[in-house]
Amino acid sequence: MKDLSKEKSNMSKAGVITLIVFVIVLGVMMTVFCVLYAINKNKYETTVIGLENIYQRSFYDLVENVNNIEIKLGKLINSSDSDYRKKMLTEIHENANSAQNNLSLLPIPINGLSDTYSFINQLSGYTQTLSKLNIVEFSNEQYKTLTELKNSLSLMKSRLNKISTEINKGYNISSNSNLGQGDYTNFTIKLQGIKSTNVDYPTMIYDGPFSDSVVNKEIKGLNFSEISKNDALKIVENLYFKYEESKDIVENNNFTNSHKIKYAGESKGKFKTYDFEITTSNGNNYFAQITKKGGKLLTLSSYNNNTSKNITKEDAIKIAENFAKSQGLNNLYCVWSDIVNCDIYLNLAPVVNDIIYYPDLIKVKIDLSTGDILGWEASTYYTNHTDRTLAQEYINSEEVKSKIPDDFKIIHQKLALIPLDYNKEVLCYEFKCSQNLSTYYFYYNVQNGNEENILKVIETDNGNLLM
Amino acid sequence: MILSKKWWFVSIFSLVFIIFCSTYNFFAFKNLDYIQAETSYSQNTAIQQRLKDLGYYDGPIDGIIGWQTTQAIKNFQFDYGVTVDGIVGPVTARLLGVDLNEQNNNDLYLIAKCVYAEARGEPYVGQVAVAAVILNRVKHPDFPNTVYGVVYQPWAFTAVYDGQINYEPNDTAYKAAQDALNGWDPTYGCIYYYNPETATSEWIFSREPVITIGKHVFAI
Repeated sequence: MKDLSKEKSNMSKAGVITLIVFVIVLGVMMTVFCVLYAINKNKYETTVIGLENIYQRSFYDLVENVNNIEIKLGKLINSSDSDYRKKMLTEIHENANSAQNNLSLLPIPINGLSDTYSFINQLSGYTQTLSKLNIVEFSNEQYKTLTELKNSLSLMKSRLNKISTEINKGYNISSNSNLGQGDYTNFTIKLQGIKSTNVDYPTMIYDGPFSDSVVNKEIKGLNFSEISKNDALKIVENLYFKYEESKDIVENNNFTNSHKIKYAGESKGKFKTYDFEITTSNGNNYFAQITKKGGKLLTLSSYNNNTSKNITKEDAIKIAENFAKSQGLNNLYCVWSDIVNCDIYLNLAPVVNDIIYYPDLIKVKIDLSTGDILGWEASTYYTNHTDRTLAQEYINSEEVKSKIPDDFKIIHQKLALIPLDYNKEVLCYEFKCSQNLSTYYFYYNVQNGNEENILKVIETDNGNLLM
Repeated sequence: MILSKKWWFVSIFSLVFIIFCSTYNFFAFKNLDYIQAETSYSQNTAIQQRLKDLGYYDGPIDGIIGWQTTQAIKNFQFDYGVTVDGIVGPVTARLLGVDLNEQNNNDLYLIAKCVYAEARGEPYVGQVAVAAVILNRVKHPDFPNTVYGVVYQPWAFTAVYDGQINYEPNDTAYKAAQDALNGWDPTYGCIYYYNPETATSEWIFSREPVITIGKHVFAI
């Protein structure tokens, strides 16, 4: 009994010690916790203030740019001097570019202000296109568009200035824009007011950057009737990917492959296609798209991780050109190549009657270790390929030759159809020239001898890049 | 009775400790330092290739500086009398003949990072498609006009916000980005994509779907 009470007091002593240790540990923990909390809170607040500063700066830059555009549009409309107009158009284009940049730094959900984005981008593209046209007098249509633009800009300006006043009174952009994709925030709703509720942004009709004609480019090369899913499957069954198989096709003409093919649905976009997933006998996975119209192979996409190069560039070109032939495209030749790691990217273009058709490019990717076809991309070809009526009257090539500087040595001369920016094509004399160690391509319009383009070849270890 | 009091202390102590641990993570705020590689993928492959040429390395040229590559770098550094730290700094880089200041592939690198962060579990063509959406946005009037502008547009990509954008992309993401830059676009001009199972915005469902690849629906 006595022993038991002794033991009891011993144990309560141990309890007190435990309590003291516990309180000390807790105290230390709480102190550490508070210090860390304070440090991190300080860091966090500095970050938030920094962020708010960037937002406000972007906003005020936006206001400045919109104000400038509005003033310059006024000057542009009322000026009668073509040089001055050109200056104003160039400056408006630059201001619109910066405005777009400022807008893209502000915390707006992607669906919040897409029409304002679009408006500013098109304003930049429209003024850039007009400035290149050397207009002596604006047409009625252009005049009307410019006046409407100015009105829209005035409304935008006054609305932005209202928000400026609120920010000056303490409105905080970051705390009024909570993170959330697709969710409107207080700040987004305020900014949406920069678009007037009863006037839409004016439509700008032009061929230039961001124009509707570029976004909704028409497909010219697929005027065929639609095929069924089963027909598409047959086309996929006849695809080959290996170099040896291509020989089989050429020599035996009774090639059958053993790929596993799985139907993967349809694409309903610009190109309507049947999509397939293919697993070849050696385990490579491919994604293939066959157009509904005409059953053409539009895309082939795959990759592998080989690292040793066993195939030369010349062999790869032969493989690509043969593959094009197996797709019914008989006159395609390689015009450009680039090697990235163990893959070679080749651009093929049609050559008909000694004229190269650069707008109708097809891209092919080949594995340099096995010679397998890894990729095929024919959307550019089928978008642009059409029966063209080319210019018939040429000026003498000797006439344009004199335009090439004397220190350039002409290596060869060809005829080529080249794409100009934004849906235009022009037939040119192509001169491949060398100067010291550099190679250049000069393009002169066959009808008027105008210099349409100059390309510089940058020779890398891996292939030729054109700049 | 007393024994149970002791246990009482112990349980309170552990409870406080657990609460402390769980709240610490909450109050300490998200760590803003993300994984940052010292050198880029193309620099890494160049380093490995040079080490291989010189006979220090016999592993794969995969752009990943792992144990084997680090060991090779250390051996190289030892032989050339440089501080043996296994890191390719300016001195080691100069001795190896590798350029650490190459700047020309920034777009490729950023697209690859975005593809890896957004779609690393997707089939290859799904990764090409994500890269193509970035490039389609650059050309489209509704979006910023540079690759950097598009990727870092506020709230455009969730991976940019949770920091996954700063993970080092793998080889497949690079290949997918390279294909997209060379013109492959299985979506033919799509400017949106979403995962129907995890999309939080009602609005995204109003976009016109074009093609489904893996878990992603691509839309215009």
